[in-house]
Amino acid sequence: MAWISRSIIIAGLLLLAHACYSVQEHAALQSFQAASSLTAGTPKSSGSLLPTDIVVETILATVVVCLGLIFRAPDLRPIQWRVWAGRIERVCEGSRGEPGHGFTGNPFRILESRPGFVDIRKQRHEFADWAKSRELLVRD
Amino acid sequence: MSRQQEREAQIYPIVSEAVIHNTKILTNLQNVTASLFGVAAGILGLESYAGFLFYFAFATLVTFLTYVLRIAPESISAGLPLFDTSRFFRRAVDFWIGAVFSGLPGFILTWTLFYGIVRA
Repeated sequence: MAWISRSIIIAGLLLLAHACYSVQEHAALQSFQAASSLTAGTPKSSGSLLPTDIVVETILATVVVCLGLIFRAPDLRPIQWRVWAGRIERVCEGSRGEPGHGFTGNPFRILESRPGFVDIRKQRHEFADWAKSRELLVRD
Repeated sequence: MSRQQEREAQIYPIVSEAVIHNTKILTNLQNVTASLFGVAAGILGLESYAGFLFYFAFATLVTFLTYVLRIAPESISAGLPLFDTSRFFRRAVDFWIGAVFSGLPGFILTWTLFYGIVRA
């Protein structure tokens, strides 16, 4: 995806450079004509309006480069904690996130593996059941 | 901050890193495009009010395009109404107006530069 936006930007910049060069040539031509008409003694009202194609090219180039830049901009992050954390949990579950993207893995990892949340009574019951079943098996 | 807002912030906490990240992206985008508009305005040979009008028109266009291309797909699929940027920015003003003025100096710089280069 990156090369698409990059090529859009480069194309727009080329257009803009071409428009710039055209305007420069146009201005040079205008001043040359003004000078020659002065020497010829025929004063001419020089309406130094730009040709329409150069104006259109400039505006088009600007819009194209803007589109490329907008496509190239990095993704925005949701600011609400619940949206942000939910996405992180979904995206980088276990992968610890990529460094440099601001993701440091699941922010609730500590809570999820905290021993205080282990239901020790239930586990003891489960162990007792398991031990009993093994005892029965051994006796058989 | 009123008590109501404080309560809101307690119930729906906000990731300040994400706010900074989003603001930085938006400001970067506006700065780069502002100098680009300066180039265009210089090439077109705009003067005084026309140049500033050009800048504000195009800055608004860029903000609008950013909304349409980058914000709208995610925020509308998340169920937010049209032109609501609350998923990525704390206040609507931060997005729609905030970054426009930060690009103005860069715009004037390249505007005068290219005006001078082209019509020297």
